[in-house]
Amino acid sequence: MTPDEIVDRLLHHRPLALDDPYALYAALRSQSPVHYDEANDLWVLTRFADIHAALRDRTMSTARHLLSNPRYATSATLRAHTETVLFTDDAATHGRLRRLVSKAFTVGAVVELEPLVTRLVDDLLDRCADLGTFDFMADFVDRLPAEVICALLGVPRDDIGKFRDWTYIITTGSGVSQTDEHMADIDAAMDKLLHYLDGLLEERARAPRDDLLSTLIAARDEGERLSVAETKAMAWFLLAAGSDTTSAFLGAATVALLRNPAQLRVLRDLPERLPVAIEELMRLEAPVHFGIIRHATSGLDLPDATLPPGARVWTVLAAGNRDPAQFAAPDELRLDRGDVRHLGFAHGMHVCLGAPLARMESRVALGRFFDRFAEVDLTAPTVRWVDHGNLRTIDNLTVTVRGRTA
Amino acid sequence: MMTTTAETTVDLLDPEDIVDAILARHALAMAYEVPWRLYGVLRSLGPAYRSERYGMWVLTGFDGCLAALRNPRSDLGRQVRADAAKGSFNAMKKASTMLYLEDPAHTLRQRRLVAKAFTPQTVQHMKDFTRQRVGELLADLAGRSRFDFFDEFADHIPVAVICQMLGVPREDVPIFREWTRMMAPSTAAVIDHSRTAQIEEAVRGLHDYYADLIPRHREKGTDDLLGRMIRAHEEGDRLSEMELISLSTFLLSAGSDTTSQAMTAIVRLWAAHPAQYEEIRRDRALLGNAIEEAMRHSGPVHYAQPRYLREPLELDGLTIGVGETVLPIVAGAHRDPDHFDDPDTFDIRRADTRHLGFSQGMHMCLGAPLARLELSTALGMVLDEFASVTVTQDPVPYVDLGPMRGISAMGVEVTR
Repeated sequence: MTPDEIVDRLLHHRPLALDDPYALYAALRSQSPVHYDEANDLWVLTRFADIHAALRDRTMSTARHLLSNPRYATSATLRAHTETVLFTDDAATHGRLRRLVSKAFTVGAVVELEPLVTRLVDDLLDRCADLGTFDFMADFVDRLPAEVICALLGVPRDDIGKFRDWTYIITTGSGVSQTDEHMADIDAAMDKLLHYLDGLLEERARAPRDDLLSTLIAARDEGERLSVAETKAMAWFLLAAGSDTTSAFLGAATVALLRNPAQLRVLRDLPERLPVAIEELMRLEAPVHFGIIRHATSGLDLPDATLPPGARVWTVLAAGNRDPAQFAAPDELRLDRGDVRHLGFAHGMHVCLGAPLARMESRVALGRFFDRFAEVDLTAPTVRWVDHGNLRTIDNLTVTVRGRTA
Repeated sequence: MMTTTAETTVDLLDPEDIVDAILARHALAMAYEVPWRLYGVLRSLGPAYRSERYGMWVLTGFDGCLAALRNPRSDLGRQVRADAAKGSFNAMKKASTMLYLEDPAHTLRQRRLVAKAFTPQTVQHMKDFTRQRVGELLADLAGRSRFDFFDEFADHIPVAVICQMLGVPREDVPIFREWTRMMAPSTAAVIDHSRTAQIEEAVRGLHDYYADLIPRHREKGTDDLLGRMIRAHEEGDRLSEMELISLSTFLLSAGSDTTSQAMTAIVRLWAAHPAQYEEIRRDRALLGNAIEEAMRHSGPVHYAQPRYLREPLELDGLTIGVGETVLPIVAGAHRDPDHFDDPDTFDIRRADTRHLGFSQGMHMCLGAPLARLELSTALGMVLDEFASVTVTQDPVPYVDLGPMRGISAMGVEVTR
């Protein structure tokens, strides 16, 4: 395939559902690492160093691309995005939003959530143990992150199902292009979600509780204010960003470990290595493959190229994570790499705010799962990958487990 | 995946083991670039790694360390005050110096009073003295092509300068050098109890010495740093006798080992890059940046004092709350690839060499101008004297001096 054909495939033909999208990235990287695709007016980056430079550059605008979307005027979803921290790149506003959200979303809060996560995981694993053979996704990891983020936000447990359905639809829109019909579904889900949040925020304003929504409202009433729209945006965005990403990662990470039994055995013997192992698993299998398209407002200096002002830049994060110039044998899982700098949480001013939470959830979920079950077998010989917007995930991952003889 | 030296084995894949090795198992004594590999692993785990065992957030990225050093009102003295309450003489002395005071207002007061004595002119006055002392040391080495750069050269300079500044007679410099060595491990974040006795002995020695020296200086009204500290006052406020003794001890330990270790580390690095050594020799305009870049790359202070937060610390994407303790590993920050391009490469022409080796914020090193003056003076004379320097030991013997990575001996071969 020519580079243009590869880009076309990546943009429009569901590459994340392929067994091996990485082969496409490798082909593009070796043929044209800083590739200008004329048909889409897009610069596509696939090398680690280039992506790192692009994400680090504070003049790169995520908002510009959103505002230039022809659907912007009519889509509730796209408008709701403008209030989120990911699509705010004016330095002052961005700094204020990040400060406010990180005030509420402290690592202390993450530490405090660990017992809850452990309890949720153990409850889910109890059920899985009874089943013996179960779907690792639907029966285990799909249920976890949404519960955690709802607990953090203070969304009532009874409403978690609704929340998950809405955000599931909304996040299918995180891909590069949507049909009008698809966009209408997304907008409908977003309307419902925002309406629901209106009610919840009103309640919390009246009677604050010890949760993130109440903290956001309180922050709104202090010096550095959040507007009502910003508070809502923060809430839905945290929910959307924090659910399917983590479960997709846990599915892919588990497959990678099961396919490397020798390394899994070492990890079972030395569970204290799990935090470092998770970074290598993130490098190999971070589910968000593509960065947000960014506009180079004042050009972009890459290690050996310069892009002109106005360039539209697309970073293939998953390609950077497997760049042989950065990682030896990049397609191999090597839990002993040690220092792994990956792009799984992106980088720079928009680096994932939820990374500490995702790391903790992953550590608890993988740690407890492999501790609980001495033997885990993949039932199906192949894994069916599906694309979910910008996310590569697994539809069904049936496993058979045998517990430790206690 | 284990990394081993004679004393230490570290599991590079276990972050708790890495933190434990840094704080309690002399990881800084590990040879070559090993300490930076440890920091790299911690840095890959996010902007802060929380050590369960030590109840500390370990920071190894540049932005995080910078923010932590600048975090207002953070308290560096909790452990010291706890040790003082348990009767440690050394801790009692330390607890009354500016770095460890509980109230930031008291720290500022002491800093202002010391700064009145520690003026740019006082520092500038030491240039001639440094030149003279370095000249003597080089003269002693004349005709020798092999010597120990640390033990026969670098280690004699800063202690002589500090003694000269304080007004300590020259014949007492050797005992000061000895006390300094004995005290060195006392700033470790986790005190090695096998070293407590030597630390206490040195601090008592210094205490008695100063208790005798200060009244004499007061009487004579000397024009040295000690004399000026005695007279320094602000709105009727003066440093007490106890403060003078503690601060003099503090200035000695802060100002001697650090600088002699920096000088040794810089020359080790220059010697490993002979082409760059030659460039600096030819173009002295490069000297300043060559020193700063070496401080960034291999500066001896690896971590700053742990800080107990009284204001939240906002890092990229996360906040560490009030009541938590953070440990800024500045040597990790200096090799953060998100801040420095090719951070492991030593490049005297690097444009951004801003490092955290002298800290930042309210505890930023008061003696940084003095250290820089000593380094540029002594190293300028080294460049004048030696056409080339080769380190004959590989690796040089590293020692763990608390938060500092020291070199205990460095055999060199020089040409003139």
